[in-house]
Formats: sequence, structure tokens, C-alpha cells
Amino acid sequence: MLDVLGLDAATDAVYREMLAHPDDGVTELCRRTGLAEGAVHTALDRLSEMALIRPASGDARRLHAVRPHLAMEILLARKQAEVAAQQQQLEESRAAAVRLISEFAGDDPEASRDDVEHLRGLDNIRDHLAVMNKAVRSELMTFAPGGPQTADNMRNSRPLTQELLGRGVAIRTIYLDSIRNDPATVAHAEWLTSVGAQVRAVPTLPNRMIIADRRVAIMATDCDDTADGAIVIRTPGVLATLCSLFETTWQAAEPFAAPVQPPAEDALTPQQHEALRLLAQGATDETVAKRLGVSPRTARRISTALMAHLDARSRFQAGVHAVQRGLFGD
Amino acid sequence: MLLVHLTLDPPPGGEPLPHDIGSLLRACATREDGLEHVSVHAAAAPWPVVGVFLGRTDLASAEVAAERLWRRAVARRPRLAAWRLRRAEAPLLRPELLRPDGGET
Repeated sequence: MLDVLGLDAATDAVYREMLAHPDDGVTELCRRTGLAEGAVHTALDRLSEMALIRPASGDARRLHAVRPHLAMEILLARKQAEVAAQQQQLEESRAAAVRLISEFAGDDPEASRDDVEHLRGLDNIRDHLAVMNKAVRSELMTFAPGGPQTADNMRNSRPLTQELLGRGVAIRTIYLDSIRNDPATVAHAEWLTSVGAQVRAVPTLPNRMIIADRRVAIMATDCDDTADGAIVIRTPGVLATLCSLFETTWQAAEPFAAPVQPPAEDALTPQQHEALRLLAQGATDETVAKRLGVSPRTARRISTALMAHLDARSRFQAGVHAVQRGLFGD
Repeated sequence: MLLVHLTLDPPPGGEPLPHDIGSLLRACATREDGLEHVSVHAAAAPWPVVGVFLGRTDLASAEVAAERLWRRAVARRPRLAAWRLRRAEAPLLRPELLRPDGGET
């Protein structure tokens, strides 16, 4: 990239590593670039010099000192550096994904040390999940949005589930409330509970996601098309955030085995409440259906019930009444 | 690691920067400064510049540390006070500005 700018290879390498690893000092730069310490120091001299001068407009041979820098310019430069670093990270992730596929036959899921990887297509995702299931030691946390699974899928997953539980892996899965309407899924959830997994349900989930041992998360890149691709994350800070999101959702979720509490006379069901929240955000019936994991017809039925509950003859009036009753909290 | 440029106003006599300014700064640096490298651009126009690479990721703290380092060097060698520190600022490290087409914004 930079060689076209007339940078020598060593300076180019040092500059890239500095962008990609802002925490690095000279010692780390030597290790990363394979350059001797003297060569790294020379590269830093060159970089400092480049920051000092630029061609005067119209005459590339005359050099001017850079004018006093506005904070905005520095921010812009930092932003460019970030973009360059992200670009490099993306390239590394691609390379890592290729490496992972080629190494998949081996038994070393830790072979790739990259923080973030992109997986394209359902096959890659399945392969990666297989590796993850093999490697997991203590805990699996899952957001499982979407409608009911096929009976085959559920049956096929049982031996793996039993194997994991047998190894002492704690399994917690959060489904959508809507799957309570599907007898086969309910039976499967009951089976899961009977063998020791924990299952809960909530009205909506943000995305399909699986966290293993609080160290690796895999989630769909597009929450509307979970088969399209997935991202594998090992960044500790991101993992901590995702685990905390899971725990918060888990606390708010209803145990699957327990019947949904009948609503108090004046209260909405959690599903109605969620539909109301989504509609208030401008969601269409279709979006509401997708997020709640129900058919469009069911979503319309929920809306109709909601309007009846709010004693409203139009959606607009429903919104006004909902606000008047304080249903949106703060 | 961030680069901060110390831009200096030379004394009226146009005296050049002491040739050992790099090693002086290195000797004045504390562990906390995280000084990794010093680049001296004594002939830079219109003002001489000393580039210091500091093991920091926060721009503001790097600039403060660079300025503190310079003050410490002046304290150790009072003659340096003749060079007034105009600014201690992270410069733009933008090699695209060296492109043949200018890349001026």
C-alpha cells in the first residue's frame, strides 16, 4: 500500500505495525517486523521526518514545515490510522478464516489466535460450531431467536447436548416466547430441562449468538439472515460486554418450564409489551413478526389485541393511550 | 506508541541545537514517560524540531509527557532555556501527503 508512496520496506512495515498495535514499543516492533533494533530506530527517524515536511504546492522539491495543527486535523489523521488498522485487521481475519478452514481437520481450535474472524456461509458456520462444541469446557450461553426448529434438528442435537452435559458443561439457552406455541419445541425444551440444561424465554432477542466459556462468541453478521455469515469474537472486552448482555437478558427471562404468568387485569403480556415497544420505534407488522418469531398474521392479531386492550380505534390513538397509561416507562 | 514533535524557537544568535540533545532527553526520561525513540531534526525550517516517540496511546497524555520531558531537560541543562518551546504536539503522520499528486485537502 505504502510502497507506492516511496516508503522503504522497513519504514512501511514499522508504520503498519504501529497503526495496528498502538501499544507497541520498539521491542515489540522489532519482534513483529523481524527487523533489528537499529533498523526500527532508523524507520522511526524517517517517520518523524515525514511528519515534519510536505511538498509545497506546485513544487515537490521544495519542502515546507507542516503548519500548526488544528485539533480537527489530528483527529482526522487518527481516524485514518484507525481505518487503516481496521482494514489490516480485516485482511488478517480473512487470512485467519482461510487458515482455520485448512486446519479444521486438525484438533486444534486454538490454532488461530486472531481476535475476530468472519465466517461466510452456513457450512463454515456449522464447521466452526462443531469445533467450538468440541473445545468448550465449562459453559455454553445461547440466544436462540427465530421460530421453532425442525423436529430433525432438535432430535439430532440431543446426543451432543448429552455429551456436553456429561462433560460438566453448563448449558443455558434463551428462546423466544413464541416457541411456546409449538408443541414439538416445547417437548424439546422440556427434554433439555429434564437432562439438566436450563431454558428460558423472552419476547425478543437481538441476534443469534453462542458464547463458549466466556472466551469465544459466535454471532450472526446479519440478524435478519443468520445463515448468511457469522463473526467469531475472542476480544476479552467485547466478550465481557456480551456476557453481561446475556446475564441481563437471562435475569429478565421467564423459566421455560413455568407457565407464563397470567397478566394482571390491567397489564400487558410481555409479548404485547414488546410488540408495543417495537411499534413505537416505527416497526412494521412484518418486522414485529420477525422479531417476535411469529407469523405476520399472529403479529396482526397481537396488534389487534393490543388496540382492544388500549381501548383505541386507530394505531395513533393506541399510541396516545399507551403514553397516557405510562406504558413506555421512562 | 505516539510521536510528539517538540517545536523550538532558536535563540536570536541562530545557534544550532546541542548535538547531544537526543541523549540528553533520553537521560532525562523516566520510566513513566515511556520514551522509546528520539529523532532530532535540527535543520528543519522554519524551526528546529525534536520528535519523541512515547509508549502511550492517549494523545493528550503523550503531549503533556513530551512537554514535561523537555522541561526536565532544561532544568538539567539551563542553557537550553534559550530555546523556547513553541509547542509540543502530535504531528500528522500522513504519508499520503507525500504523494506526487499532492493529496492536499
